[in-house]
Amino acid sequence: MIGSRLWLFQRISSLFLLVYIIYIALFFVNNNNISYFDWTLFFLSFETRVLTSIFFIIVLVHGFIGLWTVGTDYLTPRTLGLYSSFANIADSLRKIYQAFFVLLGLFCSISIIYLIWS
Amino acid sequence: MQTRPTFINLFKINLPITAIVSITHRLAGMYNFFITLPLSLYLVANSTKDKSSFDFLAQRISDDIFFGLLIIISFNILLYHILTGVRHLIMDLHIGENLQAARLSSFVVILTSLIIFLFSIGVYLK
Repeated sequence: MIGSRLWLFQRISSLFLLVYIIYIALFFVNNNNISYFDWTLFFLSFETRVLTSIFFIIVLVHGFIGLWTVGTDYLTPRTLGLYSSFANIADSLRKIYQAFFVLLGLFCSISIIYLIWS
Repeated sequence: MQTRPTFINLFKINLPITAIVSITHRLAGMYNFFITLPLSLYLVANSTKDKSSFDFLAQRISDDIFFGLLIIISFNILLYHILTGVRHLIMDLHIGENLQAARLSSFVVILTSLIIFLFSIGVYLK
């Protein structure tokens, strides 16, 4: 049950991420020679700050599901068995990889949200 | 577990175009998380801080060609991930699932990404 919910969330979240990226892209398409004033007026407006915050929270979950899937597909004793010395440490490698991407994702998303609201 | 036969010689596996789109969607997703996301943090931090850091960033993008290309390549990889992702979403709705349609949509996605990539490189270097 949890697996299919993650699968579904991955797809639904991607739609929101897409809408946000189109929203940001439209700003660049509709404006030429963007100044600091134009950019901050748009990017630090209340609406954009709210959308950006939601975007980077959803990116964390969307990225987590994707990277977790990749990790459990490729960083396993079976797939690393090809390089036999790696097979024994495959589970540890996957844990390190998971910890790394969770910390990196949290760092980036929290930093961006902190930057735009401070 | 470890005695089961495994065949993962990447140089002997001939992937069809549909599989190439699938695996590169994953690779692009990893690139986005590990490179484009931290890069976005850097760009947001420097473009919103104050006017002088905004101007410095704009100057760096036009002067430092490697930095400029890194940004263009990174956001093109994001675009590629989006296009292949939309393709997968449409197929999740059971549209275009037969082999011929899947091959055609793979081709369209790769070609579109390539054209936009070359166009953006051209605009940057002009």
